[in-house]
Amino acid sequence: MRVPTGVTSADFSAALEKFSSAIGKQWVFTSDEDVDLYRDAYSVYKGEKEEYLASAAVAPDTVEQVQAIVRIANQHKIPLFPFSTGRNLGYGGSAPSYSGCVVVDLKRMNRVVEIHEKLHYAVVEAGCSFFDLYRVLQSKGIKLYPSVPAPGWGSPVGNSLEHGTGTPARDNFKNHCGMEVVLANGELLRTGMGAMPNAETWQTYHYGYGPYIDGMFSQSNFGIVTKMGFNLFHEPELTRSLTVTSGNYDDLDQIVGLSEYLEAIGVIPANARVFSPLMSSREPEVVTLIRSAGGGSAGQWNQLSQDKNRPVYTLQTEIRGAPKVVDAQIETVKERFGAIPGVTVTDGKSWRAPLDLDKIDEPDKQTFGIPTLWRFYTDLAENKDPDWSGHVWFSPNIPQTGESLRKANRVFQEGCDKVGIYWGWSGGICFFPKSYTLLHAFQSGGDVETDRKTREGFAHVVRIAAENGWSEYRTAPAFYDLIMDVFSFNNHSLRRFHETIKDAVDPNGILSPGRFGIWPKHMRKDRA
Amino acid sequence: MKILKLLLIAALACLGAARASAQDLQHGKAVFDLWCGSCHKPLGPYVSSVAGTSVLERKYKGTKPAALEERTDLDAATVKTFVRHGVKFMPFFRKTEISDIDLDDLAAYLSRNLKH
Repeated sequence: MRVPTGVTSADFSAALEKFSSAIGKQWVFTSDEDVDLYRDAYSVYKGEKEEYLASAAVAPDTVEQVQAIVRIANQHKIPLFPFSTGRNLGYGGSAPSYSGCVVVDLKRMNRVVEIHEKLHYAVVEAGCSFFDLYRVLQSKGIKLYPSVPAPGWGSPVGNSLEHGTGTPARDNFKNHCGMEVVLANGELLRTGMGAMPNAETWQTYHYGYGPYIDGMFSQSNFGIVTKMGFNLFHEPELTRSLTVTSGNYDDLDQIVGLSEYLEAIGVIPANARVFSPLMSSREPEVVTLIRSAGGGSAGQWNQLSQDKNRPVYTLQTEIRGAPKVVDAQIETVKERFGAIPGVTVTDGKSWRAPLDLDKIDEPDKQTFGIPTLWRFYTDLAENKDPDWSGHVWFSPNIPQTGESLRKANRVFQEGCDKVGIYWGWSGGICFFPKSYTLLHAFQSGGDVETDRKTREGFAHVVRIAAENGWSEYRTAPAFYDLIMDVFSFNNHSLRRFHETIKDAVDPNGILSPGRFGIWPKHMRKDRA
Repeated sequence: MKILKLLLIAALACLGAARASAQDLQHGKAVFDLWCGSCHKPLGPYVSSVAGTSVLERKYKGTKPAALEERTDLDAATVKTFVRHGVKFMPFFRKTEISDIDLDDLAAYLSRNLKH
């Protein structure tokens, strides 16, 4: 049996006994075989002594059981690591952020607590996945859809608390309204209007009264969120997709600028992505040009674009809503982009309500809030060697300008080249307004040497990003401290503030030590 | 010794398959649809690609069906190993997701066409 550091075997055994009494013996996992299922399949330390491993797992079924677990953990100073579905592969999975934690697996708490059809929202428990929520909506014949991230087996609660994104809401945390939290002392808190008994507007008015504290429970370790409310989306009356293409290297600033402007004035409401089918390819002539001094001139790229009959840039988006409005938006997009010489706008697929869900292809499902795992196909089959055993995402946010996108790809490519990594050209995904998120996968979970190179490469790109004023929007546990370190304004005043809160709300430091770089007092002495 | 062990596993797997009732197989199919289908469903007019089936199609090049439900060479032990240990990019599954009982029925379902 694994025992958390600093905890005696006797104390640990006593705590496990109490956990069993509180939630049932069958939901306390202690054998190596069972606890190994709580490893991070994509860990960058897989099989090494630094790999974050749980000591045991507990799987409560109710909020009261979560409260009981927290109280027992406080009595015996047992570190806990709660997670919702544990499926954010590439960002840690179900493994703890600190070895020895008892993981609190909330997957059994997968209920849809409420669906309000008229005001299109749902209240869900932490372990309720996007698939679970979608199936409940479908089984009730309700034509409302969640905002789903690319892999649908995560949960609205976990995804939003990690600042994850989805379609169509994009910022899924922003799409929530009201939460219920088990605090580190076992007390139950409801935020916003939920603080008012019998509130009728818990899921419709998010501020409530006093400071807005929901953000404190995201990317942190100040409580265990057990329920949240989320806005749901109507089936769109009309959805039309379109692609803007350009064969001119110098068009990037205009395309990105126009995209941002049209979004700002409400013409493009959806996630408009800028890619380079040409520069992101791994063909030898492309790689050679990317790696050449200066990364290739406009003339060279334009020539290669012509030779390969492939655009230098594409911008893809979907516009949804009332048909007359959508048609007018599409016409506006065509008119504005069409005014750039050489740029073409092509209509893609279109869908009208009522949607025939059986006739929507897998790659298109996410557009409508239908959860899938199709993303793994693109991860695996299109871009990478199918022998990859896992990956970790490097996902920095940069300003949404053509200049920044060009600069970021240049500095990451040049920096990576120095340490034997090929960056290539990463497109801009508009998860957050005015920002582009770049997504670059590093191979992990395979062998020790590959993982070592990934850790080095990752640290390298984090430094490059920080030098340029950019940072990750989320990361895997192995890099929590690395990222927190770059938020160093005024001698790390933000981290010190986090620590002040941590010490106040969780004095024993039992909740997720080290999560997102927030350590309890007794574990941060090395840094002092 | 190793061969003996493999034979024993195969024998147990056959026994497991033989014992699976129609109800077990129906539940196994439900577990498959819930947990495996998103990546391993058969390709079709509105399933142009999914991670598992598309990659296995590329790997087997027609020598074996790419869709797991159409396989005739899967035994229960192999299914259980893949679910609890993962393979390559496919991660393993916890018991709060696929319980041991679910896994028995899933394994029985995917090995129902095993040719001996």
